[in-house]
Amino acid sequence: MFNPFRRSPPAAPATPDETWIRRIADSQDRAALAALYREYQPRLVRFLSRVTRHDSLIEEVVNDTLWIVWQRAADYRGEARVSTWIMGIAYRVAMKALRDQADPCWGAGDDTDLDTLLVSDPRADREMHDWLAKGLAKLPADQRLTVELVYGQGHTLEETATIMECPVGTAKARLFHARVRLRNLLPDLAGEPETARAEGTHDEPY
Amino acid sequence: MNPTDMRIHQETWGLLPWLVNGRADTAQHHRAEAHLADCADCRAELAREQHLAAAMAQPSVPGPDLSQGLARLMQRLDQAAPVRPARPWLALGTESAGRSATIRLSTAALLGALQLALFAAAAAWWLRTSVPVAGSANGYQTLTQAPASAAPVGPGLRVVFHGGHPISELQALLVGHGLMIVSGPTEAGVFTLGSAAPQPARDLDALAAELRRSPAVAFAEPTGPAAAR
Repeated sequence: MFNPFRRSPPAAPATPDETWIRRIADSQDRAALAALYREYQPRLVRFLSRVTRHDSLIEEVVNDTLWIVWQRAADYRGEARVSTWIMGIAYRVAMKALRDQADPCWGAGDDTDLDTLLVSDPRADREMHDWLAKGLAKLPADQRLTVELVYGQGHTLEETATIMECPVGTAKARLFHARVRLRNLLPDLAGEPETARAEGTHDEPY
Repeated sequence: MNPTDMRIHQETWGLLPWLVNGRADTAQHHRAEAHLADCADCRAELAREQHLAAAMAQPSVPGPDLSQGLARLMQRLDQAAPVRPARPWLALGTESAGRSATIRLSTAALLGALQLALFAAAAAWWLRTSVPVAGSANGYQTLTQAPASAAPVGPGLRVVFHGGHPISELQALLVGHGLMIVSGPTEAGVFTLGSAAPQPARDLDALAAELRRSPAVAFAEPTGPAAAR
């Protein structure tokens, strides 16, 4: 029988991040903050690298985000997952930083940052990374971030809307348009016949 | 493809991201599975999106160094003033997290009032000792000139406030009892209160009991055995 569930959730809660938040809120526990930093820095870097290539700006946003977490840990109510709360803070901090700096990577998708992205990553598998970078670079930034939050970080549509401070319908539309565009931009890695790609898209978000 | 099949096809296409990222629920799994078994297009799309997710899980750029970034954040903590006193009210076991923000706000407001009082006292001393204030002689008072009663008089009370009460309520409570903040809050959240004006010997035990009846007061006791009874 066909099994579509080949991949485990990319952002399954594997760490006690709620406990760390509580320890920061209750006793300003620096060890808890450090643990949270080690857990979240890589995923924040990946999220932010979808909209800027500047390491200094990425670190600034990461540190500002964790600084806010440190100051406002007591405000975390547990209504959303810790990851949604932290990514939401990071999104707001990043948007402000990018606006202030008028970062050229933000905005409509184009190839301006593609070369830098490609040459700056000697570790990644070049072929896979090439098509991913090319595909993502063609998307507007809000669609790029939506794709990262859903596929890269394992968030639901509702969580994505919360993080990006937009209605769920907007997040849904962004995901729809990003999927359609990536479908046409990315190679047919599944090895299915090309004709099979003719169906399945719609004029309106599903 | 008939309209029903098309609807199921489109619904399944919409579910693919959640199958890929592991956030689909059981019912969605079952619905999608039935269609995927028959639809090569959806299977191809699912496989493509699984590749996309796998590729996105790779670091896209080396990024800033984690250890250096963490060290810089810790340095920032060292340089910054404490953001707030440790949450002493939690020890009382009565405060919800939701109220703590209001507590801190009240504390900030009280600290502000204390700073204002200290500033007023300092200004009064400065005005009395170094500058002849023509205004006083003429029967009016400047804003920076504190009234003679700015300094606390006599023994006092130690008080801890509950959170969630507006500063206006605390202010009314203190003024209503002729009290002012002498010092605090300590790290344990304790304020020391004194009489705002000379008064006949006060029954501090009775005053403390009166304060304790206020919902805003968690704890109130005379400052010690030396207190006038």
